[in-house]
Amino acid sequence: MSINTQKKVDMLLQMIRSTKEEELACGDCLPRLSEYVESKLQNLPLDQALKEVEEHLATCADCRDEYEIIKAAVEAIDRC
Amino acid sequence: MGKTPRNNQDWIASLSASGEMQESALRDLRELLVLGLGRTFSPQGEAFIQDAAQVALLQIVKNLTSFAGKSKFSTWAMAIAVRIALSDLRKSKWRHVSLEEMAESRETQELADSSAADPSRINSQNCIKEKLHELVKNILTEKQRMAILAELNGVPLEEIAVKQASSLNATYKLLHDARKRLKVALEASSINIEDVAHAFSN
Repeated sequence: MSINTQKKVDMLLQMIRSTKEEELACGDCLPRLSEYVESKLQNLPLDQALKEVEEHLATCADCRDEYEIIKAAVEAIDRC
Repeated sequence: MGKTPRNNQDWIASLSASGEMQESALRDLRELLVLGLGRTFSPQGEAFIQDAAQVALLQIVKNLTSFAGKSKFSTWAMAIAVRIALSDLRKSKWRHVSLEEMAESRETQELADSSAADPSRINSQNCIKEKLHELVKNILTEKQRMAILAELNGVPLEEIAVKQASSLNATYKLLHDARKRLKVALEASSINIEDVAHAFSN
């Protein structure tokens, strides 16, 4: 088991590089996604809590995927 | 579709009621959830979407009092439905994959085309790769090492958490600690992270 491809090295380095001392965990980000989605769709300024969500999404691919799916779903129902 | 326009209060009141008022709200909400989920999950089929919507409806009604009103009710409800659908999809993909298999390297090692690239840059990249290998092997706990290798293989954290009998937050914190350790160790070995990024940039 090793980090044996360029892609994985790049990923790991990017992960290390973007690491902050304090970070929001996924379980604390996910409950705020509905509020974050609406703020982004309406171009509203983000409060501190939502800025932390945004920082988390910049580094967490799982939560970022979930955000994109929620956003697409909300856009679909808003068109109705 | 959603024939009765509802604001947040209307949704809460209707779903908390009984009889036809609640039934009507449940039908309308179900339609919205199915439409929204279909945007992404249609490849999984209608049954998958309907099941996720049904489970979501139950959870939404059960947790109505936890809606804090910081978004539209429909957005909050959709987020719950997406969580359920996505979690289900990830579980079914990784259920029969062991943690060791999650951490295994499936891709073959890429060899740099040294005839085209700057040899000193290739050398720098190889040094950094070796250093990373060494650090991952020596300074992380076994649990961290397995989790980080699985994460690099694209395994969702919630699935890593299941295999390690842990929670999503605990797994995130485990990996966060691993990244911090690697960052400190890289810097202590006189490797500047920005120089590293430059060495690997295209």
